[in-house]
Amino acid sequence: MELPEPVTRRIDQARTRYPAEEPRAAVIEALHAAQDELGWLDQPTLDAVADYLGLEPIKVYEAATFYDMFNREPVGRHHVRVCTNISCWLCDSDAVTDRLRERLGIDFGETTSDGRFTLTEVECLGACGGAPVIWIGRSYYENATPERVEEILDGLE
Amino acid sequence: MAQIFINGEAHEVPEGQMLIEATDALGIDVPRFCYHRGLSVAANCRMCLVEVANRKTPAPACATPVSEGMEVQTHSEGALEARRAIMEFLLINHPLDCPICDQGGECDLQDFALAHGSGHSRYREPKRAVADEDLGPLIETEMTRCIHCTRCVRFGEEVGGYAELGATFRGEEMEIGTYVGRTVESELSGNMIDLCPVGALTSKPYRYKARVWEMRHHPTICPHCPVGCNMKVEEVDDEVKRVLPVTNDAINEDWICDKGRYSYEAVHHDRVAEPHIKVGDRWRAVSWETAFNAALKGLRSVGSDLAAAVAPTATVEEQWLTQHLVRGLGATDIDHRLGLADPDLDAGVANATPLLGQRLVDLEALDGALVIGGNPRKDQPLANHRLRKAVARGARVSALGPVRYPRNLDHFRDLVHGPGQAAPAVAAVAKAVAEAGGAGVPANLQGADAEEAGLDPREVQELADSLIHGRQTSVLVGTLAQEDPQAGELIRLAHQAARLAGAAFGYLAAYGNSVGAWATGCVPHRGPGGDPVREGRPAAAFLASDPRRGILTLGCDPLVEAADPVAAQAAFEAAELHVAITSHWSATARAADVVLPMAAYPENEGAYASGEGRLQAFGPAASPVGEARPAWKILRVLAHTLGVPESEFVEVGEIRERAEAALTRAGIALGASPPEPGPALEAEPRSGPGLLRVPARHIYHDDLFVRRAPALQEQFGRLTATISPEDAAERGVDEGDAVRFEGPGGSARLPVHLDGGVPPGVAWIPAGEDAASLGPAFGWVRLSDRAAGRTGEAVTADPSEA
Repeated sequence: MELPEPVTRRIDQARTRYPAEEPRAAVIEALHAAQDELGWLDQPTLDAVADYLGLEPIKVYEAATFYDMFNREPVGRHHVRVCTNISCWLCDSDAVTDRLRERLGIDFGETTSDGRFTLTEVECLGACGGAPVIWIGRSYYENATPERVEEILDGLE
Repeated sequence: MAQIFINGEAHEVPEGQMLIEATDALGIDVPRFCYHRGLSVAANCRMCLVEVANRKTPAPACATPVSEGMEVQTHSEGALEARRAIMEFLLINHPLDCPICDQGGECDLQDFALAHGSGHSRYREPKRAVADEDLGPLIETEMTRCIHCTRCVRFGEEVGGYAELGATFRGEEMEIGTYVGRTVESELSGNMIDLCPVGALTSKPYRYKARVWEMRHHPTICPHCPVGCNMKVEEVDDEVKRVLPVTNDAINEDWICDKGRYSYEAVHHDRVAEPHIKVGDRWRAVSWETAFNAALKGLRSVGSDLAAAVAPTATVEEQWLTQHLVRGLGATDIDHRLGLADPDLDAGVANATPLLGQRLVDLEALDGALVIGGNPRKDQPLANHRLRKAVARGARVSALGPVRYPRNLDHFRDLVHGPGQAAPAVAAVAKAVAEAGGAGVPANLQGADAEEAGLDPREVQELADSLIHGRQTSVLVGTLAQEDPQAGELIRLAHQAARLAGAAFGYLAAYGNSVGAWATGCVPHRGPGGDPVREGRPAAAFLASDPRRGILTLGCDPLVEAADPVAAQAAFEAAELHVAITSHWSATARAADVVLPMAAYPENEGAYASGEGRLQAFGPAASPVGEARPAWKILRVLAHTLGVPESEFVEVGEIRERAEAALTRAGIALGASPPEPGPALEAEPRSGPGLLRVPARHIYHDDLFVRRAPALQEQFGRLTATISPEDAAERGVDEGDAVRFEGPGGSARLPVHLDGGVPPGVAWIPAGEDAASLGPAFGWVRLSDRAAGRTGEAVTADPSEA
């Protein structure tokens, strides 16, 4: 497969920031670019990224499997990620995750049957000052409560 | 140098070395899993922890540079305690399956568990298990045993030149593999098995075949290519079980290629176990006496009207004795260059003994090199490894040939000339070198033109500059160029380019003992040591249009290996007598009248001369199968009985003395330069209908022995025709289609592979059994029709189709 133009444009940009003889430096940026455009990274996409960067495919597989934030399975239109690390947990992230599971009818790692939501438990999102934290798309929702969960989900298509 | 103290004793060691290099050199035992001297330092296994004075924590010896006054304890209580702790971690997830593990008995983990481990485990939780991948017919996996040392991963990247294995996922879930279940294709893949310190990667053909402590080891020399890797054959009860490298820093370091490693399986396959004679159309197994009588009767009847084709992979003793027999009978036609397509080579380049012209270690010290018409990666994998090391140091290594091969090193320039334009292209390079050197362009190069040869003049100029400006540079004539229909002109021009550039000149010889064959007189115009002889005709003549009444083949299969196998078939049919001395059944053996079974290389004794000019002897590792005998004994009986003087040899050493004397007279010595080529004849530019065939050799098809090795053939046995995407599109052919190619000799159905490295107008079809029916290896081929889906159809050889 060929990578879509917005992806290759971002990869080209990223490459300008690294030495020309080190294409591997741009792997993570390239995978983010592909995922932002395509939602998740299937093997043809990984191969295309490797091909575009001139790397052996295994180098790209290594990076894509090492980092949790790369989706190697399809995800819903909205990827809901909740932190359950210590700060969020102390601020009752359990109540938030319970409400999310109940409202969406799915558990962590699952996608709703209509393909709208995927729910993922994640490690610290670096926003402990606003714990508990939910991350959806390009937004952080801080000081989350079960009530806020309803509001947030209602606001999403 | 720095003075350091190890276990209280003072030692002088080179500054900047890692501690483990110092202890290894001093013979002080420090255990390790991930460190290997041929690979980069990963320092991830922590098994080599030692105590260093004034450091709070133990230090990994592999990643701790020595420094003046450093005090190290390798076996203090602290160091041992650290290793005990590491072993406990490593054994948490390692299965206790040593009794059924092939690595058992030669396993670093097993040995260190005994030395440093605890007798019991504190770990009560379930162990992790890892699903195995199928990496192909050569490497068996049992990834639950993996301890993540990453040696195999680093090997692929650093030595193999192409990363196929990697470490995916992370932490406890980290797995070594291809991630997608691909076959590992590196020609050096078997070395990963040797590197694996546990039983995660083991040899598939050797699986469950023997236990290491039962085996006897026999040092040997690889017969396949002119590098001459040092190896050992392991055997139980006279049955060959496997082959492993033997470290020789001057030759193969710690490695061997898969061809050397896995070809041993051919010992057990398709062997001729008894002498055979053909009675009418049927083979009859007979006693040696009957077979000898048939051969002797035939040889007496043809007399001096005899030709001999000798395998370039035969030993120097076999080669010397064959020419001794043939010339002793008054015959003159003898050759080992079966694939040579230039019938005029000997008239021009009188002596093309294919010496490397330098030592293998010199290759890695080059700053510039040009390989003309060769694919060292597949032709001589471990010479190529030296070139890769040079490139890693910043050397500018370039290639010039009819196709751009899949590479595993970064070429400075990788130039592809127009179809059939090899000689003009080399002339253009020589001219550019002369111009850059400023000493004027020699008359014979005045007319050379890069563009006419299909090259970019600017790239040619850059290539020429790289050869002139290096401190130490080389021009190497590859294996394909040595067999080219214009080989004479190519060799002379390459030599001229080298001289103009002040570069060393050498050959990457085509086959294992090509140098020995030249020096012992297995060429029609030179006797042993270059002695004058009554001149005969080359294989290109006697295996083609102008056969003799009798033909003797030794260890070779001209019906596959000849420059024109179809013409060779006609020559065999025309001959009254064909005596085949062979280890395996082959097309040639089946076409013979008398078949005399000879020992295959693991059963044989003798010596090979390497491209470097090194004569290396080896002994038998097992008895020959059935009634087979070492070829030197067979030849001795024939020579002696036919009354050839001085043929009463009792031991192979007596023949070796003669062969060795010939090598000395021929100037074969370690690092010796090849002789200067004489003036070659003007080559005609070639053009014709269809695609020009480039028969660049296939690593697993170029000698009879490897063609009979099952695992290698399972993985790579099918020959493919590689053509350009442009030619494919024009003819409506897709990747993988089985297409009938028509050559001057006949047709062959081959699966097509598309590769942009092949220029339009060229079809890269290696020599091999599947392609023999096409006729001339350097001929023209046409794609006759599109035959999608009919891949199973047998390839037919019908010379009348031409």
